Amino acid sequence: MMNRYTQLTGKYIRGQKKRSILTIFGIILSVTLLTSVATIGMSYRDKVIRQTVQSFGDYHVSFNGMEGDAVANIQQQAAVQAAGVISREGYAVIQKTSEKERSENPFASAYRYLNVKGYDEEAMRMLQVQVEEGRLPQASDEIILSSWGLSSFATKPKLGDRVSLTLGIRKVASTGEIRPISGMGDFGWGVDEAFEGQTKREFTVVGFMKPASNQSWSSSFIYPAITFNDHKTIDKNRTYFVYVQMKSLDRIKDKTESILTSLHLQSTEQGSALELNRESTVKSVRVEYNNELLKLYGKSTYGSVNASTSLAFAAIVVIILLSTIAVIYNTFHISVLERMSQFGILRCIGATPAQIRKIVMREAVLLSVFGIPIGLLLGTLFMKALFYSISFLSLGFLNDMRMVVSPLVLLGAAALGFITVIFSATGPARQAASVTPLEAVKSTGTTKVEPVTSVKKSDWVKWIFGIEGQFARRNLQRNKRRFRITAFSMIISLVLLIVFSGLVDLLRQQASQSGIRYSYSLQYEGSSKQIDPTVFEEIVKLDAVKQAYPFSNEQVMAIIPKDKVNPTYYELMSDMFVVETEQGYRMSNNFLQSFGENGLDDLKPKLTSGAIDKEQMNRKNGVILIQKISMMTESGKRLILDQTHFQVGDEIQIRTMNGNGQGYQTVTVMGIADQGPLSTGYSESAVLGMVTTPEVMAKISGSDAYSRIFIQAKSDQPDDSILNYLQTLVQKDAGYNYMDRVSELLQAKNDAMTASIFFYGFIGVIILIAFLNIINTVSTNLILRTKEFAVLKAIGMTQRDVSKMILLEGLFYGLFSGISGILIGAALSYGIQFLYQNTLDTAWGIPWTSMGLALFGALFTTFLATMLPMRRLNRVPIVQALRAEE
Amino acid sequence: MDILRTVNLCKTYGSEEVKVEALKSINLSVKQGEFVAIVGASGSGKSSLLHLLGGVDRPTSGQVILDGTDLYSQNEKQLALFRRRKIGFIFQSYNLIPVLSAEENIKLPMLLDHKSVDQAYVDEIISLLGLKERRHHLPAQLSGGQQQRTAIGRALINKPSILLADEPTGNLDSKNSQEIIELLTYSVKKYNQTLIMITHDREIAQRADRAVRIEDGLLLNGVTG
Amino acid sequence: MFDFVRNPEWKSVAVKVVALQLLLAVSLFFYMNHQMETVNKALVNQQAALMGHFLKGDPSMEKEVIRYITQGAQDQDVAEGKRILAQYGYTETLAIEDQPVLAHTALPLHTALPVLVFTVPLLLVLLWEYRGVFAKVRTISVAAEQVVEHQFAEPLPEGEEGDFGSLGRSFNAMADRLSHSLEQLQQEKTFLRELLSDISHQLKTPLASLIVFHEHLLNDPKMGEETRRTFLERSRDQLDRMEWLITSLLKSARVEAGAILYRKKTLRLRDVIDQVVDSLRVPAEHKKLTLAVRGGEELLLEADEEWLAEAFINLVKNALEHSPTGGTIEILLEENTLFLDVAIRDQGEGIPPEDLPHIFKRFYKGRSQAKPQSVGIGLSLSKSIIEGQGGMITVSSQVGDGSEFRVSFMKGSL
Repeated sequence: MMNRYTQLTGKYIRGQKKRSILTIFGIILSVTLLTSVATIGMSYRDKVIRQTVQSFGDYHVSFNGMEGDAVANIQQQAAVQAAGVISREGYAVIQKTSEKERSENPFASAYRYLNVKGYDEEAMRMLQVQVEEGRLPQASDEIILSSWGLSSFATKPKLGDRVSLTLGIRKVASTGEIRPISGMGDFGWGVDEAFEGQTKREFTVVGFMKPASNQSWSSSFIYPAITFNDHKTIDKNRTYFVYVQMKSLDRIKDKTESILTSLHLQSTEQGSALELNRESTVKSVRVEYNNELLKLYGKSTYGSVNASTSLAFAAIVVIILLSTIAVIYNTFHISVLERMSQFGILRCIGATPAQIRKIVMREAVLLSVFGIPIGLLLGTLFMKALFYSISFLSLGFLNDMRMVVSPLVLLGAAALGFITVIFSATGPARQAASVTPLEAVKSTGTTKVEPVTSVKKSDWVKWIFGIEGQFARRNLQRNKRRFRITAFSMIISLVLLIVFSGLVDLLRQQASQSGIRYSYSLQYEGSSKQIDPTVFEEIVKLDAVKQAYPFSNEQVMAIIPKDKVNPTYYELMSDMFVVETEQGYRMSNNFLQSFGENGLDDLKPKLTSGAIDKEQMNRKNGVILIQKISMMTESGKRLILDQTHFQVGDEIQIRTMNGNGQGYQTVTVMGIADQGPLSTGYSESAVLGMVTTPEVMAKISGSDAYSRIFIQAKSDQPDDSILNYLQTLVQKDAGYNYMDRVSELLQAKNDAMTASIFFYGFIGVIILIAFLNIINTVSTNLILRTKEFAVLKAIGMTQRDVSKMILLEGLFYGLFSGISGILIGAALSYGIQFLYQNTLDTAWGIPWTSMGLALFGALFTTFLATMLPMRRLNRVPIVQALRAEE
Repeated sequence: MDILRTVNLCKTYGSEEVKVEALKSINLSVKQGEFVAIVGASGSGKSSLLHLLGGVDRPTSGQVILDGTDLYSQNEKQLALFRRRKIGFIFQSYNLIPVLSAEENIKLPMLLDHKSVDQAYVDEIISLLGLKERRHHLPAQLSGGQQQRTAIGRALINKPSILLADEPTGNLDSKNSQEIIELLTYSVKKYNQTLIMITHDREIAQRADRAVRIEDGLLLNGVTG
Repeated sequence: MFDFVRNPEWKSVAVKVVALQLLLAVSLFFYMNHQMETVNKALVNQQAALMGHFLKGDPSMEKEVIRYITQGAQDQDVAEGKRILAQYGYTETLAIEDQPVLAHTALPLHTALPVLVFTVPLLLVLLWEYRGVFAKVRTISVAAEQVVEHQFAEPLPEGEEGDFGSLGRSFNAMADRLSHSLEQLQQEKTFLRELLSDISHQLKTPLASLIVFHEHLLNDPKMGEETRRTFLERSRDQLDRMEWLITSLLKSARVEAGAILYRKKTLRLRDVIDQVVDSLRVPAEHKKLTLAVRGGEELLLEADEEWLAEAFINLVKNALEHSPTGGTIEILLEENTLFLDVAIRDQGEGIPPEDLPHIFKRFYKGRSQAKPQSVGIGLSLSKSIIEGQGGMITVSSQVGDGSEFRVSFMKGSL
């Protein structure tokens, strides 16, 4: 029973089920999109935070090389939430390097050291100290050792063993001076080593440390060990490292500086922290901000990075909102247009404009009430499914992504969705309210033919498509408003598609930072610097090996013509371009590399131009050039750019560094690739890579020897047969050294898979929205004109003529909207990239592929959207259609 | 007592070259309870006149004074309230809201007025209209005559002082026309309302208390048939 | 339930109060913020003084003590400190004004005061709003007084939304009804006066003739039998006419004054019509007219049989009078969804359009009145009777083709 006029809304919703369902569908899609994006965003951030914590540590700022006095001061600062303190307890010698090893490796240290550091509880937590076996130390006589250094002990320590260590300092043997230690002292040794024992301490071994994933080579002479030290008593002679979590991250730089001021250390060097366990040269005193982590909270000390991140995120949200507004506005607009005469009737029987507006707005509210919860649910379910498939993929991995279902996100998406719907309905509501009562009494149908004021003669259209084509074109010109609505809606869909695929590309570039494509690498550091070819053959013969690459690398001088240098790169790195010659700059940071025969094959799919033809390369000194790098500028901005603008066919003058008398030789660029054969990311160091065949390599460097082999295993899991072989190799000859990167490879693979699932899932949703939106608008447009088409048939157009006309109309719509859409989309996608440029800068290329796909998709969809209702229209008898009143 | 009066009412459509003078200085007075038929050829301006009398259009110049109020001195909202309470419209094409049942269509003006529904009165009107069995049907399920009766019910529900009917029988056969005219005359008498009706039907025009003829936008008073 | 929120008066109050409260909230927020800063400053000063004095005596304690200031205290220390301070009456129950840190802030008072002061604008708003409401009430009472004085010229404003609008509407409707009743009273007076003048006018002529006849009969004893007879016959004619007039007028007066009590019962309409046709058989045959009755065998009607017959007799009689000799009078009984119709069609000379609206008026004689002796009371009486029983009568006519009188009764009439 109807008791208030506003119930009319409900009647309309039920009375026009199809349209209501379409509108609800639009709302559902929008809210689903919002929820998904926000959930992905939250989960991604959560994952990245965990990942960053894992590799950079869970602290905000670190004070390195502090004197003892400063420790308590920092701990008790009002702005400090928690502080972890680390001290260097001293080195202990665990092995004297054998003569044999020293003769084989001229850079070998005289001793193998244990670097004992004292962590308090907070420090262990913040720096992610994890044990492979046993537990963390809890007392000052407990110690954990690095698992990879155990074999260097005279007797391999077991859990629970007591070890007695003589802790002392390292000196330079020749001068007797104390050797300056960089940072925590885990890295760096000299050939000239002496040791002076100071104190003797006994420790119980309670656990073995996990090796960090990014372990450096040098750790083969210095092994870290951690004992517990609560730092209640401070030794003034020791150097301390204080890791701090702040109470709040606002103005972290000011707060840190005020701490420094109170310590009288105003002029201390400041910088960004590197990954944990990375070799770094830290001067005696240095403050480091954990900017990778801070960035994720939007509190990086680089202002522009924060602004850029939030701006870009805001831009994405704004684009989503704008497009959903467009979609919902569109459906509402159409549904209001259809009912214009009814609103006129309501006005006639005395409804005020405000009441009409209320009826439409209520419709928006009611539809939201239906649509939003479903959208939230669907979005969450959709994400659940996505995450389920991901969890399936990266099963057993710590770094998996956990789904973060935040009530805030749901609430936010609901609120945003609601505001969007309300906002979108406002225009149509106002339009409905502005209808004059006269409109109802004058015209009863919905097809209001606007007066044709000027029709341009379009002879070419007539010439190509015949009279139907001209008709179709005039139809578009005649009803400008309907044309605008339909075109607008299609354009929005296309813009959405292009912008998001551009965005996805951008994110992919950013996400694909780390990337190796080999499982193990074997290196020989013996005096010969040359791996016996039989070793390579033996490795290839192993069942578990999929592929092995003999790798030789020769640093070469190259003359880079001035006009080939990327000006942007030159601006950034001008201090590298110092040696000018007549032909150009002489650069030494170039590497000529050979990955053996199969290395070049692997490069083939990565070529961006040129071709790989080994014979020709051998003949012409051909190289494949890798000139794209990813670098971080001083302001924390990531750049992905080409160092040089070489093209296929260019010639480069190079000469080896040790210059074995050969002088400059000419190599020809035969292809350009963005990434090396065994890497999935861009190079992060400023080097120009030239990949070539072993023959060319031998020709230029004068030797066909190689000192490194990359091994690709068949399985993703650690494989004992390969490891055993490598271990026996090392035992036989200490010059061999190998690295196990299986887990890293697997993780990289999983990351790539995760990213793909996300990105393609996302694009899928966008395509679905765009598709439905076009179908909706175009078919409504046609169905509204049932009567008009009937008239045309009545005056003698055949079914075929009308169909042709309608199809042509659709074609014109598709063409117009397609072209406008891809242009606007490309412009917007450039804009987004522009906003992002303070965090990630890559050269923007016109997205030809997505533009082409979008245009084709638009035409196809319009065709489909035209065909579907046309079949329905054709079934309706003329007389019935003529009589039809909406 | 004049319930309705127009003073030099003019309506011009278009401008410049394509100017059409639909009404040229119309002066018409209608007494309370009177049944006035407006006749004239199509395009003579009779519909324009009716629209102006009902506050649906705005005149180019002149006044319409209904129940002592100058219609067009009011703003859009006041005009809407005026239509809601004082004027009942009946159209040739019924113009019912398709998603509402007959009863709901009839009640709509009452609901628009935020009045609590006087169900007894609604029932009275519905049985007067002979729609008791069809009250829950949608317009699409009703015959033309039934739809027009529903429309009359909608026009009557707020007890307006004046009913404006634009060829109410234009889409109906003679039997249904007869019925609608009887119904209108009957209800006008019963509720002491004024009825102004456009009609092409000479017989119907004769049943009016008075018939006025419009020709080329001019009013020829008191001429019948 | 919350329909009253539609009232513009409520909307106006609500908007203003919300705006005021928002203003209050914002200003309190800034004020409290400011106050907290003051307290913070005082707290820092207090702690600084404590530390300064304490550490001057024993600088070695600095490392241990500072933690309590910057990082917050631990429970057992709090308990111990409380125990010591309690000896000096420094407890949690310490009066705020005795607390050195808070002594000069007077925060509660400074918060309460503005809130209290804020009642002034609130009151002003309420005053303003009520003023508006009461002004409207006054308008209504003025209007009511005017109605008492029989002045209906100025209606209350009724264009507004809300309860005042609908009060205005109801009030105006009431005033309308009142003025309508007064008008009707006036009309009845006029009707009575007209009736009296009609009756006197209609009776005067035959009466004058009668008086003249009687004078002659009385004063002329030598009047021949023949002449006397003529006079008497003429007198009888006049008396007949008078009797008919008086009866008709009385009937008409009774009907129009609503003094008749119709004894309604369910009738077969066809029976009534047949009975009417029977009673007029003789004059019809006299004029060689055919009376054709068609349809309506099934139609039932609630009405007073006698009066209904009377009404139809008058109508058919009228048709008889206007029909040419040898013509046909059709009486059609029809029904549609809502109405029972009786259409009486003659083939007479028709009624000119200018006469059409007037033919039901009492004693109205068309310009081309062919029957001088008809006084035009029959149609008027019929109309009164039919309308008195809830029916209606309409006429349409084409000059030269004849007329159609249509009597309609609402089915299941109320």
